[in-house]
Amino acid sequence: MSALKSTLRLEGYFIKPFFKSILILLVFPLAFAFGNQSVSVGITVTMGIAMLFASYNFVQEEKGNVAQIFGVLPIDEKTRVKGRYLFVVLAGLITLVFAVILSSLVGVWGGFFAAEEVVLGSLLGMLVFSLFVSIQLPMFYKYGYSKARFFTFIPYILVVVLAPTATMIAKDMDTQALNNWMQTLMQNPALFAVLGAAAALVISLLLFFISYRLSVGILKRKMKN
Amino acid sequence: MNNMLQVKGLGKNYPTFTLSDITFTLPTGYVMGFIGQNGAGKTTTMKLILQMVQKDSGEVLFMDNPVSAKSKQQIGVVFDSSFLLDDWKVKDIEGIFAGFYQGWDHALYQNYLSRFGLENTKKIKDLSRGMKTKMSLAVALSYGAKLLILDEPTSGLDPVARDEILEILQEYIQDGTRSILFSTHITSDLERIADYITFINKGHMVYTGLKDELLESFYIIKGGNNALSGGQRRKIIGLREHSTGFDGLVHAQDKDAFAGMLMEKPSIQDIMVYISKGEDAQ
Repeated sequence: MSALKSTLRLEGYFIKPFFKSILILLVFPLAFAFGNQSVSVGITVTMGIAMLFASYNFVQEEKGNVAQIFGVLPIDEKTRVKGRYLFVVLAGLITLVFAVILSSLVGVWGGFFAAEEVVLGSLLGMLVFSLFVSIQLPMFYKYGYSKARFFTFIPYILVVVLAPTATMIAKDMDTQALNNWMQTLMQNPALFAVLGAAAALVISLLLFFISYRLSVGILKRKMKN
Repeated sequence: MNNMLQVKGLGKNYPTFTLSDITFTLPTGYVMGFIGQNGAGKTTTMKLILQMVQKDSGEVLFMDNPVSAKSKQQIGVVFDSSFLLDDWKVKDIEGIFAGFYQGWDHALYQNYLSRFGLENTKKIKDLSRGMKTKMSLAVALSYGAKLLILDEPTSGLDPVARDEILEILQEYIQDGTRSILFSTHITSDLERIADYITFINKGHMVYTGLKDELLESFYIIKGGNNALSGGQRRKIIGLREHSTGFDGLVHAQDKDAFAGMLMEKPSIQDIMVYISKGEDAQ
């Protein structure tokens, strides 16, 4: 088994004790979906909860002397970080699929299922997950979970603070061109889905790549001390 | 003779502690005891060897090559406290570690589990301290490691468990192709299995070489009150004076200066205590 696969497997074992509680937590957003009569709300709230799980591996590392395991294993810092990022990305993708399926089922059952909402919710969920986790992971590498857990809430605070501001700015802007463009897209759902998915994927990959490079640098500098 | 591990001029600076010029060589096929007081720098040295901490100076060669992540394919490590997650079960451990090591031997690992009485369904947190050490040792011994680095693996263990672990270590080096670096406060364990001793104190070297040479290099001197001249006092390491007399450690080449006084052969523990005390007094 390659070092990266083994590291990925190790990350899975770190989070294994939390499997049951994660599954239970991921069911709660279905209530949001039903309450808002919106599949996209169910998906994005699920991804919002998934962002919290990105910290669990760091929580486990801080227990006792568990972090020493990385000094014993025959892997370098890059592989160590790569394994964690890959695990977080895969976990995010699995959670997204899980969210889409369950929220869609609730939507069908509740009579509010709409395909464009699935697309919108998935793209938004993927983007928000990528952005927030990309900010969180380097913080955890730099400060450890105990000191950095405050930072896990900064993205949520930013959204709460910036969303009203963005709305106010948008109201004053001449958005005619943007409206025309959005209308064209909404009239072509397939085009919207393809373009949206492509954009979300590229942005997400870019965010994770930048975040990964930062984390490797942080870990290497930490080893010097 | 081939050298398994060469540590040359290893150094690390911390705000309140400095490890300087740590130099020793562990030949292939031998056991080296690594001794020193708490806080002397033993664990720091081991972490520097394993690149868990970056050195400020010196070099470390494993089988004549600089230590790298790849080197750890052949290095087994046991720390005094387990690095296994409490919630893992014994049956999870092979799944976690086996994939990392090209030389992983499933049959050998299962044999150690059976020999150590480790049940697959037990969680790590439900294992006693001794069982956790055996668990870590089972992993370290199961992928053909050429070098074992053990940081106080027997501390806190009962005599039976310690004896069992020492027996396993003696079996491990029997074939002459492997080596062990073993830090411990239980110096009687080293008197049993160590061939070489490296002694550090307050971050610097005190001695490195054959255990028997170390033991033959010193004598314990004992005598009554007011029996010492100024010259004799200066030759004594870690002098202890009490109401009934004195005792201390002297180099073998100085023993003639103490003719007529009681002389005893020291143990490793005696040497460690007297030298540490002597350095504290300076």
